[in-house]
Amino acid sequence: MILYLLNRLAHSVVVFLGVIVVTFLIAHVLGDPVNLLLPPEATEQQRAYLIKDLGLDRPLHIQLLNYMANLVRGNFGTSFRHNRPVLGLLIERVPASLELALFSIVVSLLIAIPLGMFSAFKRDTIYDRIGMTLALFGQSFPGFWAGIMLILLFTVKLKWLPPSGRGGIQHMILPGMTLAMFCTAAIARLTRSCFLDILDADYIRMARLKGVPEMIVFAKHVFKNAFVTIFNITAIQFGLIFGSAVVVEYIFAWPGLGRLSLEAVYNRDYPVVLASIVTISCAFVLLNLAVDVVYRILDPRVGRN
Amino acid sequence: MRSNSARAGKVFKRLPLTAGMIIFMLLVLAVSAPYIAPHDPNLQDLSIALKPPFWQQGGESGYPLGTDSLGRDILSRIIFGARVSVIVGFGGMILSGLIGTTLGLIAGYFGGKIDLLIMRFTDIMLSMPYILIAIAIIGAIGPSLMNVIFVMAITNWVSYTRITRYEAMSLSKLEFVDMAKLSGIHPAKIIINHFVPNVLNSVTVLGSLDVGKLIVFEAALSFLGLGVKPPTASWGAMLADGRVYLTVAWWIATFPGVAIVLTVLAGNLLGDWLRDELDPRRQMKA
Amino acid sequence: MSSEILKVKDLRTYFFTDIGIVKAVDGVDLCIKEKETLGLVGESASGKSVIAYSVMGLIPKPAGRIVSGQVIFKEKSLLGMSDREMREIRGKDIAMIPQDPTTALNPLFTIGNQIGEVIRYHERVGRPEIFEKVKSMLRVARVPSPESCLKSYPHEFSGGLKQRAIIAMALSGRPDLLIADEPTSALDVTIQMQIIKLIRELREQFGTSMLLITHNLGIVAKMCDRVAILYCGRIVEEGTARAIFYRPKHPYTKGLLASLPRGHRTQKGLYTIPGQPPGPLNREEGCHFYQRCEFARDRCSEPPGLEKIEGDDQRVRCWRWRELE
Repeated sequence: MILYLLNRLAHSVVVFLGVIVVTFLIAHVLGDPVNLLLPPEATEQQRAYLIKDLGLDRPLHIQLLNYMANLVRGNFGTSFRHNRPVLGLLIERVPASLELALFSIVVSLLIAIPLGMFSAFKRDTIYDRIGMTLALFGQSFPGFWAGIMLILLFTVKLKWLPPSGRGGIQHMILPGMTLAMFCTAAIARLTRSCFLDILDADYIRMARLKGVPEMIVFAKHVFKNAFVTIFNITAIQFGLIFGSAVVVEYIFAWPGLGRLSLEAVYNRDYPVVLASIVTISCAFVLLNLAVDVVYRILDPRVGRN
Repeated sequence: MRSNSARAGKVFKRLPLTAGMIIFMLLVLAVSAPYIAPHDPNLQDLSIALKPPFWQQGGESGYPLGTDSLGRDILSRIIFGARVSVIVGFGGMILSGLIGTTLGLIAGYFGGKIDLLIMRFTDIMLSMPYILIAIAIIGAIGPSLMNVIFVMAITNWVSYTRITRYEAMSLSKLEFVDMAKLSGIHPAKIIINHFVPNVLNSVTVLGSLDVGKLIVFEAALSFLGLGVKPPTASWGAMLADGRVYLTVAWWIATFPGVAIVLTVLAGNLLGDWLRDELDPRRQMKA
Repeated sequence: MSSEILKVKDLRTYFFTDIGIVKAVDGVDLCIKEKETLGLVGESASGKSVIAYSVMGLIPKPAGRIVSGQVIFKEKSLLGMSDREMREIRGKDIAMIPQDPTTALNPLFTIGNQIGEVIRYHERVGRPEIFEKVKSMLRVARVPSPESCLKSYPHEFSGGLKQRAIIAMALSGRPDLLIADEPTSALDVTIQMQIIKLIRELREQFGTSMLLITHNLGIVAKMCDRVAILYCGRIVEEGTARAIFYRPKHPYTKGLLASLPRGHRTQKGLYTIPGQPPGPLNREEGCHFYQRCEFARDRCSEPPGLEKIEGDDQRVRCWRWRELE
């Protein structure tokens, strides 16, 4: 067990380092912060000074190592725009994004899993077809358009819910539902196919052949096999929500990491952009690690000889 | 046994056909936009700005879906927007598919260190939020049609690599590959002649499902002002306009969204149907 | 006169699909006495497994249905039973060994756990007793080191070992009838003989009746008292093993026996029955073997009944069997 964990941890660290490298390369190949920070009339001397100040005259790999060393110390650099340490900005914004993501995933699971299970048990009947068509519909809705339409309905026409900002639960409903829409549909469809695969499996038939009560067949055999897969699906979707919340946060003026990153892109605020990408990637890597660990605990075929 | 379920089954079986027709119509619209659209999509006429659709009071049949804040005809902009979506959707899919499939086949064929390298690389890419990266890159190099396709190509290739690598690995174990290697045939020839036809099924299914995803992706980018350059009509850009005027002119944001939903829905239906048709298990039952 | 354990009368199990009705079992009669082993021989898609699952009451609804017929186990009709009553019989009175041992075991639970389920859900015993019983069953099935096998997972076992565990599982309930669905098809040839030997010994030891489903005539010769030949959902010939092997009456049976390779004699080539069995949707009304039979005549386009042959305890479904003697 320990060996497996260490192995997976090492893998995660390697991937994370790779992320930092790639991100760093992207940022430096594409942008030239000097041009952005200085007015066009700046002199050569001023340019040279700024270059030296930002450490841009050093070779690329030295810059990269410096950046990584700084990261370890928690120094994400200073925001060009806000003139504050980026770390502070991150700490402010991450909880909001997390809150929204958790709300969305919980709502999704509560709807999607029963829906998927029901469809699987009533396979090929009219309930199944309707359910899955709805799910297909939900997956075809671009999240941000759904958000706008929801605002149109609930804020403009019905005047029930506020269109933006973060506050009480009424502020979370619209953005949460928007994020949850795609997610619910995806989880419902995947849950259904997961359960179908399991229900068709020979070992389920064998359990019945042995005279195991139907309740136990479901609660024991079906459930355990399904849990592993569904946990995996959920983790992936959670990651997707967290990563693609950018547009939703923008529409609903939700003060989260996504909106911070977007503003940073508009403002050419590279340290913030870099830090956001690195943070979200870190979250993905940790999520994957968690899934690996759960797999290892539940499925005896994983990681043992 | 003509139960309710059986009758419903017949209806649902017709769906892929409808989906195919929608996609076909989309392509037709995209190609023949200049001839079909009733108005110039970029023609501004402030005197007719914010006209509602023709069935509401104040609308006219000349501008069936209304006009936007600059007096541009919504219907025409949607038709021209189809062009952008088709180019970006298919272009992005083909480009990312090419990159991903090539990497996957190479990884599966050669194995060993090359495979390890490519796999690490895909792991890294998978851990990164693709929308954010796309936004960052376009933010730096500027919005344009080509840049959008470029960004899609470099963020979307991973799923192709995963499946083609898996299939290439099983193909590599077959004897004919050893024979070909021993005969000194160049790896590229083996891959192109033998591996590619075998992965075509999976890649096609993936591609058809991808088109919808990429169209939404482009719309999102344009919505944020980081897609195609204005004033080019793009469904996403129209949504951005529409959002500002949501309280007074609901139609600007609604119709482009409907277009997106229909397109993506059709793409998904078609992709699902293709997946079932090309399922190898199906062939065994015949 | 030993009693009849299982009696199947005119069983018809159909599957209702979008493309037509599949008559998987189309009027089958079977009879198994106490301590007797009946071999059910047929090609793939002849309906062999469907008969087994029909007896066990596990035909997948709603597509499949037992349309008519009777299944009588120890004087009780199985078809009329409720789910709860059937559940009590499954695993305890009638047990089944499925075809593929690998997929029949849930990969997430230990072998001990899964064998223990048979005891747990049929008898009222505590956990330590269940463990002891499972261990003793594993020993009976000649599984090495039963103690550690209890705690092992299916993927740690080889195919042969898994099948032994499944045999142990099947016999844990001390069933009166054992249904073995191609118990060796998924195994290596070298292991097959071991398993057959094991089943034979255990059958002796526990006095179990058996329905052995197979396409392998060699196994039939080693294991079966009586044999029924199944073709396209119908029994075409039935009798004692001796009678079938030495005095086959039906052209299909004769063809099957002719296609067995004879190791000790020089052979010019292997005989095969020409053609393929008709697909489940293309079967005509008359004798199903009509298209492949070299003795077919016009009369054969009408469905022949199962005729009893005097003095030989044998039955044939063929119009012309007398002429072909």
